[in-house]
Amino acid sequence: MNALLDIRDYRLDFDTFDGAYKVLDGIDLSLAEGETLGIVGETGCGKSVLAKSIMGLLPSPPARVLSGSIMFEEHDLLKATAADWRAIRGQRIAMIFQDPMTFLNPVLTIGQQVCDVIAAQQGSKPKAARLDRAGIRAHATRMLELVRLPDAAELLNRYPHQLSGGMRQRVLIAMALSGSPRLLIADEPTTALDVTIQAQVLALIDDLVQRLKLAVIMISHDLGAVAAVCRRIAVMYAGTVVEDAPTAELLAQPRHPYTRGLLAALPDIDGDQATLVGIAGSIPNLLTPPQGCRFHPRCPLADGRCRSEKPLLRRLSETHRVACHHA
Amino acid sequence: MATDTTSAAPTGWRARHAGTIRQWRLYAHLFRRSFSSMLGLFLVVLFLVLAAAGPALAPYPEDTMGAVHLDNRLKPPSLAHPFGTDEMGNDILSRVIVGTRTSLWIGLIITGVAALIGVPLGIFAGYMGGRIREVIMRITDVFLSVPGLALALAIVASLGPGITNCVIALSLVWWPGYVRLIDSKTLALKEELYIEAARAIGARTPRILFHHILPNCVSPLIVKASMDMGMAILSAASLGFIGLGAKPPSPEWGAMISVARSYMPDWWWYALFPGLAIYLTVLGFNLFGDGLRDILDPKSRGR
Amino acid sequence: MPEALLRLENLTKHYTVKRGSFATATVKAVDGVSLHVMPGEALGIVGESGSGKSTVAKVLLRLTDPTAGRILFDGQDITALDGDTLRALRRDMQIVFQNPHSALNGRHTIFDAIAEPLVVQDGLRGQPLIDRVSTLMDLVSLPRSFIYRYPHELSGGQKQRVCIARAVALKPRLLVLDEPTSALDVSVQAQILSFLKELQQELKLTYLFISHNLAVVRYLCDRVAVMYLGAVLEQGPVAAVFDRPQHPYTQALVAAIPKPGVPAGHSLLGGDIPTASRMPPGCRFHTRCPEAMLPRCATDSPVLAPLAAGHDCACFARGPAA
Repeated sequence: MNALLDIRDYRLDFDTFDGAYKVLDGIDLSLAEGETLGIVGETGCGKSVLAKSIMGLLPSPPARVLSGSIMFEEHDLLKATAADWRAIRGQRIAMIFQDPMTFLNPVLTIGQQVCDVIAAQQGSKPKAARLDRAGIRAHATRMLELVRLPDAAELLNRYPHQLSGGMRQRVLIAMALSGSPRLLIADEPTTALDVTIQAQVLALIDDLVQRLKLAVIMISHDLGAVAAVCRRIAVMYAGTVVEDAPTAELLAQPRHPYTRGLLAALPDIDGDQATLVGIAGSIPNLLTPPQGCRFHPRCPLADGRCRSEKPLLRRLSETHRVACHHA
Repeated sequence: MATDTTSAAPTGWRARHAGTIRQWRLYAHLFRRSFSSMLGLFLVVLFLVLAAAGPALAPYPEDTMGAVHLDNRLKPPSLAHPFGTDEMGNDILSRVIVGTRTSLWIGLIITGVAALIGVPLGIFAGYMGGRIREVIMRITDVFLSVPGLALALAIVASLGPGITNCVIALSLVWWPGYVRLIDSKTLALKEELYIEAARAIGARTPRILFHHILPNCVSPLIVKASMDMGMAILSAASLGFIGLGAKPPSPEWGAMISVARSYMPDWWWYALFPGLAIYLTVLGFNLFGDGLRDILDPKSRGR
Repeated sequence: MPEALLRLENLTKHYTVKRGSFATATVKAVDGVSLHVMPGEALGIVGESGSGKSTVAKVLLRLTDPTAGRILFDGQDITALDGDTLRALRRDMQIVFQNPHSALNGRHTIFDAIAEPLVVQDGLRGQPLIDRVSTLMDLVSLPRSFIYRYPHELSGGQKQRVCIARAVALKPRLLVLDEPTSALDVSVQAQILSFLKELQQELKLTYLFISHNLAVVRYLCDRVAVMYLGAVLEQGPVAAVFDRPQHPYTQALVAAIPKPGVPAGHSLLGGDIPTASRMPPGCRFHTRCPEAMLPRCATDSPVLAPLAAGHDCACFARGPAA
């Protein structure tokens, strides 16, 4: 099976007044058609930067690619031109974001905004396949029905502020899917939502994945939310992928000390916990990242080798990869 | 950053202020990158140097006191008199240089007094809200609804012409802008969580106003004051021009142009050089203020 | 029975908001909440956005005035205190806010931030002030080298430690924690939570812990109150409430937590949270309630009734009231 997305040795710096922040340090990840991958990590691990790289949304400067490739459907996205991006964004790869309100224009109706997105996609289609105004509106209604919004036709005339947070996120998902993309990138899609609404949106994403055979990259700091939707999880730390495994295996047998630390740090709703173990220390400054393994200053297993030699992401099994000398 | 292993409190000025020093270096770096900011800085520094060392730099200091050299009347620019001479035979370069000091103190006093009146009123209005704010802001609106220069004209007319009265009049019409600025800034700052945190520990209102809100108003205040310096100098020159400000022969730029008007266009240098001085000063302070705004208040850029 | 440190009696906070040019609407942010916190106890308040949990904190700290009801602190009615008596009370009740990034003034150093309560309340200055601030920094495990740094030079977890140091500087008896870890990463959250647990023992503190995260409340608190649209729907010991939730809303909340191994969408609660300005009549939860409705659910408002010792539930379909 061919990979839909294949990221190889992707390294990226951010140039600032203080110097170059080494934001991504050799990312290797691939994703098959219809696969669901969760990327989990804490603030500053580079997960959002990676997502924006795939969407070509990183302004350069400050971003500077040092090496690597991002192959999507056999094309290197790092070499894509502005015209290429117009055909890719929305129609091959789409993205949804954390705060739905900031991506909706408060003075335009939902219908105007969804239709705008669909109309913009018509340009790159052959003449015969283009939709007229009525067709666009009908398509917009269908998209809102797809994300299970009630009274879709009526909803098109409403303004964003008349919708709840959960409904707005559904509208954004509808917009993202309107060009029938093959890959959906969801950047913290439920972080701004309440738990009961989060459960609804997660269920919706799960349902869409099944029905549309969509490949999904879901980025979150919430391991629980990611595990509910994704079959596979990659854990990132300080610009590197430290572990990549099927969800059940990662949760049951985490092999990287950081993954173990993350799991141990999660408070549990079932049963009483006497202690909660955090990960000592704090995330490194990426201006001067630690030599060797970037996790070694906080790692209970660190030894001389960890301090000098960067561990490569190696295969433990067909599906389980880990970047640790001790795993 | 977070990798400190030492647990002793830093000693020495440099260690204690490492963060501040870095911030200032960043400011300097950002400021230097912009040509117009640097041009503004150059003009402002030139203006300040001329104001500070005025009489010492002027080639003919006695010409600024009202000397009369009738044999030298209205000479065009030459090596001896680079800006030419006026109808009294006085050196225009010397008079322009010495006029700098007058302009500086006019600018400083007008913006200073305006800020002194406007800032407390603005902070008070913004923080107290309710009826107090209504009263302060409506009075401000009344002042803003009359054109500033017209109001200043009326005030000078009743006080009598003269440079002091002109400064008083302009100060009295200049403050409403500061009330508006600080009021809106305070309204925004009031909602900040750290203000609530200060209230939660029992801080009194004056402490919140002067310890928390005022320092956070400083950036926009500096920006506005530096831009207003130029405008205040221009307004004072305007009053001088229509004969309500400084009186000739005192070397004030507006007054000089006022006299020079009747010698146009044949004796063009007489009006040109004081005019150029006003133009460059206003330009300098505006560019400088723009540059400061870009580094101190980056969000308002491009408005 | 010992006296409660904090007791809220029928606490109510209504806001009037403008609707268009002429109409106004009343937002019932807190609508008749009665709670108590025993000395040395940690009470959790959980709820979704709009449940009024943060408003309860602001009202009980007297940062905003209640519309009705009483606040009793250590037996004393503090509902109407003002001026210097209120300022003196602040010594005993402190708060840690959700977002440490905005709870610290960016123009003040860490020293200024931690010293402020000591300066304001005790008038401390000079060397004693520096010593006291240093001790507090040790208490919250902040390196002393941070003392003259600015907030933007610190990580989120370190800033939250500064906020905690500031809050405990005056040795308060009640510490209100308003979502203290929801802006932090999980590994840092775990550090802060276990630290808060130790701190409670060390300083004999009483906690009122507000959160939307049930698991965090379970870890830190002894008792929990579940709020929805300004009212408490269920309260009791954490183990009882979370292991055997009684109110349909609490049941839905517990079920909605995404758990590894459980497919997404397990036991869904339909619909959206109504806004507090358009409160449904009757039981405030009946518009979303997954259970078969009793006729009175749409007309009458249920009150908290005991189910078991210390476990109360406000639902017509539960307990003796059913």
